[in-house]
Amino acid sequence: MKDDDHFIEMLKQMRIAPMPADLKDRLAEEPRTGRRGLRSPFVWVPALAAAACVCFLIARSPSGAPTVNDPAVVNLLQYDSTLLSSETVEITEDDGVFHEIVEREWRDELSARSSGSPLAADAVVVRRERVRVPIHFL
Amino acid sequence: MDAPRESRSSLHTSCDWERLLETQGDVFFLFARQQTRTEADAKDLTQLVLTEVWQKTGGTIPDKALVFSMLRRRAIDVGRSKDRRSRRELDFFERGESWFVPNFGERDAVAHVEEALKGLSKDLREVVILRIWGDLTFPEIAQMTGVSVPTATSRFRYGIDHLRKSEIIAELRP
Repeated sequence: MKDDDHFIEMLKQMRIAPMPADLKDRLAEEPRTGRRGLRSPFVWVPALAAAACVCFLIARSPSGAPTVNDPAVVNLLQYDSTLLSSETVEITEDDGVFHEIVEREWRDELSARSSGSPLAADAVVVRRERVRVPIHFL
Repeated sequence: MDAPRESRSSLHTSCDWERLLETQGDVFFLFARQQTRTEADAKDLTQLVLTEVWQKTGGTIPDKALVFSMLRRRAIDVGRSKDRRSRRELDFFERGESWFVPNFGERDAVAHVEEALKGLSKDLREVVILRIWGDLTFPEIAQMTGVSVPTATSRFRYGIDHLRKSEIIAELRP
């Protein structure tokens, strides 16, 4: 057992070869992060509208005539919005205050249920937005 | 014009990213090497997994066990998709770079340990690497590899025993 411990210590002393330079170069730039939970007001509107359309279609009778439950009431069951990409497209300065114009791409996912149907509908919408964000210096 | 582009948070995460690569990048690459069949696959795998984990954690330093676990899972995908790799590329792997930095005092010992390590079965080798250089606990290794803690422990003991007793290593011992 003592021999093992000594041998393990010897192994731990062996220095791992560093990552190859070309891999370091490939990893030099920090990957973009899609932070969850960054939401802006009304971001769910396009996805909710899409889900409403789906629910409405589901709720209609096969003949195409509206059912007694029309217009269907859509209940939002779950909503999630994920930032797919964020890119600074412009930097502006106004009286010494810097702002950046950021173009963001979001993926909105929601699950909704219509009162006219027992089925739930899922919708996914990818949308782009441009926002002006103040820059805070360290 | 470059300076204003960096906000407080982006400067913060950029440092974290560099710290992750500096402190743990080498051991992640070592593990990727032993999980893949070619040096090029190991590089692709390391890049893919580090990027994916970084995005999933929202730009914070991830748990080591999570990265090892993803390297292992993604390596299986890579292996499946590249099963018909040409012999030329496999030859490249066999002549691949050393896994460890040669120690000039014990240059041969390092080379021979590396050879003995490569000679272990994959099950034993990954446990030895994760425990010794990855610094993971046996419960973490067991969870990652889908075996019980006693199995992970015995694989480690068996691997160490095999390395220690290998003829090549034995020759170098006083």
